[in-house]
Amino acid sequence: MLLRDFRGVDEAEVAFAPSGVTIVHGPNEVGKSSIAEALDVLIRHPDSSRRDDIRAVKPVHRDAGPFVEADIQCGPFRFTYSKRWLRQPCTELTIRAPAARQATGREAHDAVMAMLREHADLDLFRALWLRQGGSLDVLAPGARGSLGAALDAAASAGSAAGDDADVLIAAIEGERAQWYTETGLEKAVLTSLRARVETAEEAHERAAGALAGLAGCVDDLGRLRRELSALDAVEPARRKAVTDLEEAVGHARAASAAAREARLLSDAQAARSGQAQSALAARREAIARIGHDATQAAAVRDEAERARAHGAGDLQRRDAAQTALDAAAAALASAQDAFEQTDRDDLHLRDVLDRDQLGERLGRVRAADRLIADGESFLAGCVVDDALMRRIDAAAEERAVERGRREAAAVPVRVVAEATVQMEFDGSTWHLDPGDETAVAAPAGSEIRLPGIARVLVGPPVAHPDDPAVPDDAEQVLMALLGQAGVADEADGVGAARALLRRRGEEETRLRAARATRAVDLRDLTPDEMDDKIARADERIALYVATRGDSPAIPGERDTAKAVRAAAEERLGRAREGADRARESLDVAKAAMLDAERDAAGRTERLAVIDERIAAAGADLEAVRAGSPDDVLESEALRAAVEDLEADVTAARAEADAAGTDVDSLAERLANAADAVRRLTEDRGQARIAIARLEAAIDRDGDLGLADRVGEASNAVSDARHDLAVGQRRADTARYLHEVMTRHRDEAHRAYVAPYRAEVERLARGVFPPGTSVEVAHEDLAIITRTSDGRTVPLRDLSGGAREQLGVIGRLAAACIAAGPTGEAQGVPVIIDDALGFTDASRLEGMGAALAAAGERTQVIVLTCAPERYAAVGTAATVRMDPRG
Amino acid sequence: MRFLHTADWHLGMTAGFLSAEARPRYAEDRRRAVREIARIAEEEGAGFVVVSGDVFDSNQIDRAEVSRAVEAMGAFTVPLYILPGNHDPLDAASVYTSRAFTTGKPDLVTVIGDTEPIPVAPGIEIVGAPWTSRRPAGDPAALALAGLTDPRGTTRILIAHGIVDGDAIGTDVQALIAIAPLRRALAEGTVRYVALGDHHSAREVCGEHAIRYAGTPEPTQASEQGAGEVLVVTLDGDHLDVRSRRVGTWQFLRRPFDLRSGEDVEAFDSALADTPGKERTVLRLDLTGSLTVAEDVLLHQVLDVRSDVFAGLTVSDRTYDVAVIADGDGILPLGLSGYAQGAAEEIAGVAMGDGADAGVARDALRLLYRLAPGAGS
Repeated sequence: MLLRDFRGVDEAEVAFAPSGVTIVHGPNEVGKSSIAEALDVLIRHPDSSRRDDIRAVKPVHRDAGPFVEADIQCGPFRFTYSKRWLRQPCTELTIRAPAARQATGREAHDAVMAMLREHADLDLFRALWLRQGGSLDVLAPGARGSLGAALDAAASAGSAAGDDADVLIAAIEGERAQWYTETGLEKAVLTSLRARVETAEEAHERAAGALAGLAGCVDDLGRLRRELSALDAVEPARRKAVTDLEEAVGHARAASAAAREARLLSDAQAARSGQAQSALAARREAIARIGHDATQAAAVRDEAERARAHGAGDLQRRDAAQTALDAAAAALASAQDAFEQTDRDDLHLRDVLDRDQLGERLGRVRAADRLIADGESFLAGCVVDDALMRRIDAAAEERAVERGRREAAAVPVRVVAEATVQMEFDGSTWHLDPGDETAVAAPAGSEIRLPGIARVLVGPPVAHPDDPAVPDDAEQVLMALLGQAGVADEADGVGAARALLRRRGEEETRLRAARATRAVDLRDLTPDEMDDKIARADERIALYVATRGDSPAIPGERDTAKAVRAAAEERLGRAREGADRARESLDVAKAAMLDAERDAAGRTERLAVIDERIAAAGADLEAVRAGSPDDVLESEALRAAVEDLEADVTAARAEADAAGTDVDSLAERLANAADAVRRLTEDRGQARIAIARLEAAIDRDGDLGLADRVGEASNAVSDARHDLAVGQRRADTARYLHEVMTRHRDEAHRAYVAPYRAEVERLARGVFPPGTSVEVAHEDLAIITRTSDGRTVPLRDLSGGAREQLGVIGRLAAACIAAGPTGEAQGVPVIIDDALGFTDASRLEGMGAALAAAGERTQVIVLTCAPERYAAVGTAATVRMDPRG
Repeated sequence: MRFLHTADWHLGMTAGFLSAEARPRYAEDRRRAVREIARIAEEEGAGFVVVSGDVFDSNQIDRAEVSRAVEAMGAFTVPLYILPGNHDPLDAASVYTSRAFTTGKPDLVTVIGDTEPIPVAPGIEIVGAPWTSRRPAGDPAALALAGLTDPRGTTRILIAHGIVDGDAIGTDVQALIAIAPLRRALAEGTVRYVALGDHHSAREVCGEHAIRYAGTPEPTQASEQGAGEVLVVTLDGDHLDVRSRRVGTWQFLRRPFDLRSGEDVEAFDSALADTPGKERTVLRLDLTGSLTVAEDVLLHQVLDVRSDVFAGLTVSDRTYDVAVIADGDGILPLGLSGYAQGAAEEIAGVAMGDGADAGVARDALRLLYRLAPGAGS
């Protein structure tokens, strides 16, 4: 790289190693720092530029244009690039690889920019440039975006966004900042829009209220005018009503006074009449009371007379009742005797019946005893039982089988008659006429007889060699068994044996029945006891017949006797009821006589009291008649009554006159009518006042254009609400976009942090104690804290040397990541201008190792006036710059 | 005999449905319509003009506006009969008794104050049914008809204001105008024509040729049919002829657009651009369809630009249904990468959904499109 007339440098040339660490050292002001600046200016500004950056690098002591030339390797390209500015500006480019080409001027500038954009990251270059005296703490702006792709690859998060994202974020933050503060509070622009709405709404409310008030005034005025008109209309009628009522009240009051006076006179006369009537009534009552007592005394005497007559009847009724009772008692005794006779007859007949039944039972017992004796006798002699019979049947079957076998061996004989003949065979007889034919099977040894003509003897059979020997003892066995049964002599021994077995069964059945009958008839007696009971019964029966008498005759049948007894018992019941009734009648008659006697005593006593009262009342009446005779009393009462009636008629007439005019009611109506007129007057007055006020208000407000004001206020509300809605919508939009975008950004940055921190910790391994770690801010990749030996210290609290070391390491780490694991990726040189001045010797060694490690993957250029600080960078190339001219 | 029938001038209307910029123009055009009616009356040789109520939007409008209205009425060269309506009833605070009106009122102007027949020409009477309060107790037209006697050869025109009972299903208005008595009066010859006001659309009532609403001379909303006209009524013996003349210059439109591509958005823009008289046009849009983010951004740019030239350009929130969808290759054309691209895709996902944040997410995409350095590349 060649600099000429660049700041204080007249001319300087320096060659950097194409990779690894190059340490450029020289004394102060030799132009080391100008090297990085010259490279930056060469790349960024065309030769035509006259901006301050260019003017700043013009040498101050002579009029010459600053010139820079550099050999650059960028991706596959190798080229030499030079520019001069201000004086004789020029740009020259000579590309040597991959294909040689030359260009000048703007074409050269654009070609270089294109190559660099494709294969280098100029923003990262500027970010990693650690300027002399510059901040060490954080990477320069731009590093984060430029690191994006590399960190993305390292983090495998696919989240890098490039530099445009920072621009976009800034734009979004700018949009949001229009509406919200950093802390998210609404800015005045929003609050003022809201306040405007509120103000407009309040104004509208006031205007609407005023308009509604005016409308209310109009309505009220209309209503009041109608009411006033109505009040005016009714006023004359109301006033006339008051006048009329006043007259009516005067008339009514006069009539009422006259009526009251007449009524007082009438009441006095009525009192006098009442007294006379009372005296007359008392006299009449005294007379009537005496008369009443006399009538009562006569009635008591009449009653006593009727009681005496009735008392004789009572005596007769008692005697008749006694006679009836005696007759009923006699009838009862007779019925009792008759009933007892029938009862005895019944018992007698039952005794006869019992005796007869006992005799019948005894007869059946004795017949059963005979059957039992006969049956037992037969069974004792009979040996045929079921077992013997089964043996006989088996023997008979065997014999039959044998016979069958013999019959099978019989000779068939066919007899053809030539004359009328009789044929006998095997107990049968045939009558054959000439030409008749018959056939029989004749066993060997059998005989066919033609009586009087011939005997045909059938010869012995020819034995078949296969036939078994015919047993000849079957008959004998059978005969022995029949002999055992005692029927060997019978023609049909087997049938006789079966008959014996059948009779045995019958005898056993009969024997069981006889024994059962005997047990039933005997019950708990023996035949002898039965005989004794029959004998005693015969004695009782004979004695009853002998002692009873003949009348009435003993009923012939027991049922008759029972019927006769029941009839006698019924008669006995009726006789008892008749006796009871006669006794009750006698008791009633006796009680009636006692009651009559008590009544007679009471009447005598009452009669004495009445007579005494009549005597006393008569004495009193005579005494008062002496002072005031009855006729005088009568005439005085009549006259008082007539006068009372006349006074009452007079008072009633006066009251009738007053009744049509109720004074109180009229007075109330008059007062009410007067009040109504007064209120009407007041109402009219108030209405007129109210109307005047309303007319004034309407006159005052009617021309104000209140409806227009309401409309305008309404429009203002609508406009303010619209503006607020638009503003709020924009604010919400900006906030929403900002929130989503920053959230994604922060998430992406958090993904960047891990590989970056790992690279920093790798390079710092030899500088700080083992196990040192750092914390990195995801927002700007700034190192926040360092943790060594278990102590975490914020970066700001670290020593200047440690901060300086971390600043260099941070840039080296970023460059390494950008260069990729093998240094093949899009890397940029790291320029470190005069750093590590605060680093002690022990740390310088570690920093040398870190620089060397970084140099394996990226180009590192160190500009320093103290090359000994970098002595530990083992692989470094060293270039010395000396002052020229 | 010929006359003009008009109504519902609503002078002084504050027109909150318009932008602040358009309101003065609208107010001036309503007064201009009055002068135009006067011109047409003269041109048509009309004997008089009747206004069936609501000449003013309120009794309490600004008196300067009243003065300007009275000034406009000065253009009439034939008698002008004004019926107070429900907006400007003849009550205690009536605009017609205000100083601004009474002092400036031209001689040819008559305010109908009661139901007494008014002779307007030989053999011609008008009978008015004025509103004397904001809430009359009953049918004002029936009240006017009740006092009429046998016309005895006179041609009568009834002027009334209000809703006819056939239109009032579901309303609780007390002062409904019953149709049956009007028909009876026409049949009996008590009146020959019923000039109604209140309804802003010009139309026959219940098929009756002689019962009509004149409509408002300048429209106030898109749903009005036949607004912006004045009726020229000719009575010749038994013959009745009614025709309309255009007066209004404003139009209130409602138009649907289904947008599904960038071409649709461009066509929509062209349709807006080609709309005549935009400065007097209020356009309400019903937008449906589905657009990519870029197309959606373009749509809103179109709306932003065009809304400045229309008197009113609104998008109905109720019917707005334009979905934002992903581009064909699934990538938003914003030139983003890394986390920025991730953020944009998250926002696009929300915007394409129907969650609570879908709206703000769509706005965020539009903003992102505007701010992103590589948007549209």
